[in-house]
Amino acid sequence: MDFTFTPSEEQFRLELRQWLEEHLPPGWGTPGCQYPKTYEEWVRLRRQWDRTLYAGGYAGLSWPREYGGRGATVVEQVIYFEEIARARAPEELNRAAKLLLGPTIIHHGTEEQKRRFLPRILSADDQWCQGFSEPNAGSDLASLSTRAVRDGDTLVINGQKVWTSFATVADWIFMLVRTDPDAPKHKGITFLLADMRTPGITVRPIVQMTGSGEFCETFFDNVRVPVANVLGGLNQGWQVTATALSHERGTLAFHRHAMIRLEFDELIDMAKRITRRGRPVIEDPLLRQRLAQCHSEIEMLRWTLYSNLTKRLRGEPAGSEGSIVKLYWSELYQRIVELALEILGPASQIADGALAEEGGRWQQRFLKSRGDSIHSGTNEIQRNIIGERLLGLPR
Amino acid sequence: MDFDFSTDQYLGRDSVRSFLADRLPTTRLRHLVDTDTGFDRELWRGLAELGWTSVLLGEKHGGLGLGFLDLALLCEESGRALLPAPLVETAVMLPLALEAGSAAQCERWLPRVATGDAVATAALAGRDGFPLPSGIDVRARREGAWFVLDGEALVVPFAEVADVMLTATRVDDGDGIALFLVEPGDAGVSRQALPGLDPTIRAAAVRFGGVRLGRDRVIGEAGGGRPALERALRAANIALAFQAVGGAGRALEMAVEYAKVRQQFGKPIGSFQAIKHKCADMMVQYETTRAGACYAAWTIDAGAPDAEVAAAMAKAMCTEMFRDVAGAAIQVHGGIGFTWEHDLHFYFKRAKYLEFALGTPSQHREVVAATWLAKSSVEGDHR
Repeated sequence: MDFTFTPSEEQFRLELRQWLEEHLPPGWGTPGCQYPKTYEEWVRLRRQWDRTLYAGGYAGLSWPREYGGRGATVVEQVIYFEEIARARAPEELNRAAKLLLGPTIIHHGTEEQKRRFLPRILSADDQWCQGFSEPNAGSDLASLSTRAVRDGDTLVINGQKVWTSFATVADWIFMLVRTDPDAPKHKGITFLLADMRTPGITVRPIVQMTGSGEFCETFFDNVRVPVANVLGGLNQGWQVTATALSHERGTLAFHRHAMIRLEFDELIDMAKRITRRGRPVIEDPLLRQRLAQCHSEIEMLRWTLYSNLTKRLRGEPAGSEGSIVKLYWSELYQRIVELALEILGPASQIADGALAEEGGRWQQRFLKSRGDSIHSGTNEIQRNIIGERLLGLPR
Repeated sequence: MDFDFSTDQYLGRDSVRSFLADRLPTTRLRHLVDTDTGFDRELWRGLAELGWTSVLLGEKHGGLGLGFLDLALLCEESGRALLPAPLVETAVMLPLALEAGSAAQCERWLPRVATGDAVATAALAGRDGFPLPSGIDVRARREGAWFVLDGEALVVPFAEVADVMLTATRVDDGDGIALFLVEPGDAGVSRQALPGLDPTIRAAAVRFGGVRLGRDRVIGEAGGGRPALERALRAANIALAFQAVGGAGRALEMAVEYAKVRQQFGKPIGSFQAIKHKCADMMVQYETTRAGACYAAWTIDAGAPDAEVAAAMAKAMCTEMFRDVAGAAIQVHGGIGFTWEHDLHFYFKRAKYLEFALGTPSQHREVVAATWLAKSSVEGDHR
């Protein structure tokens, strides 16, 4: 057992830390920082941040160098996520493309597809959105019904996708479509890349329960896409997707852990400042217990991640233990933000304006956290995966 | 970066697991529950021969001179097999406390611990249950060259068979701590057997009524025993956490095995999400808390500054996990899980013993919380 980083890993951390200090938007991460107010401003800022990362050589961290990536080791990826969380760097707008789509193209794409798409993902010239879920295909994703029918060298798409985040500003969509309705449901699916400017695509924003947000629904009405935009072969989409989804968890969870740790430390500061019956909340025996429990669980999450990381470093494939991590952090985080609101007391009801504590950010986190147990596979699906794949229970 | 045990450490684990499977099947455990002492000296000597009791001892005392990480997996196995013995007291607490002891004290006890000829226990806390800062109910008064001990320690495991009791006391009227090596023949020591909630842990209330001991029985300086006690407690808490992890691992296995074969409504019950998700939750709690125990074990050998908090977290999290997993395993088994005939109740009861040994989870969480008050502000190093 050894928790030390090598000198070159420490060097990577120091360089990144310094780079972040020099390149983050002015005042970023400090208490007085003025964050964007509107969705449009956020999108602009995050897209600009993607470009800054690219210029600094931090886009496509895990991608091989031959495809424009940095070829970073797994440990360097972990350090990257820990450091950008520590610096509270903006989230990349093109994250889904960098984490899911890029590695999938590298794995399954043709030379032409790699040449055409990969550089523009990293440079943020192409903004991508993800078209997997449908109104009737959420957890049961393989039952999706958006059709694509072949007509010569093109596929003609009809149907509807939902939760296509950032579709309003996306240049491209990577999506799953049904190309063989007669095959068993997992076998008739194709992974397809479509230009969002193609005639017949309509995007409608969906307002999230937070009141803001990036959700959209996207409609396809006789949308014609070249067959050359199929990724990984006709009717091979489910296998292609399985690779894509396994990229989504893994090192990214280190970012979640670091963010949760950062926010929890703020919560402790708040519990020292806010009083009940004239005493700081931190001295309340019951709330102290709950805070200590959350603190402990954040530490358990951290060591679970390091345990999984060790398996990666030994060359074991990323398995279903990602489900354990996802289940654990999402429910832990929901308990933390609920505890934060309890500590705020009556102030928890003031979500914005001059009287709101800390600009209302705990209320935003509280609302947003409900999505964490739903996206990327609901926690019920994660429990099925743990039960069936890790414990071997029957379906 | 390598957050795992070594191949050698796993090999040691495997040999111990097969030894215990052979020598301590639950049929044997059930037999021991009905004996006078609940303890098997032959089994203990066998464990000592495998090196269990000598991991932390120096070579000059017949030990292996290894670290806590080498002991952690053995503790896990002892929990898995529900070993009815004061392993943590003998193999962890006594050797670590004696790091502050005299050469004569070490020479008297450690070689016999290594061979399995001496069994130790620890008499630390009274009804509070948590020794530090205020749970010690035995007082040692100086009388010339002697100390006179009065008071009581509760739930002292295997006090009836112990050859030596590591005893924590307050000195005179102050808060200073002295650790004593008390022997069962010392005049004024009385032991009252306690019918245990966990029948596999034979515990006693130990009363000290004017027990006169010489300076040669004090470990280190009288009044300055706190660092040695803290060192012993820190490692013992992690050892208990590993025992909980071991027991929980077995209870989880039993639940999953049963869920695969037990049929109701024409299907294995493990195919129902009510059962499947319960098992998944058990596994999540098991895996995450076990990772915490592994980290805590590392802090001992590394001398990490957060060792105390890591130990407190591991103790609270792992023992509560074992409690939850053992309870859920009974639920998955349904009626058969509620019978004496089924082994699960032994796990359920051991979980409750471990949960409160050396303090309750809420007392350990308080250790975590106390670090925040000690700091004027959380490290605001966010940039």
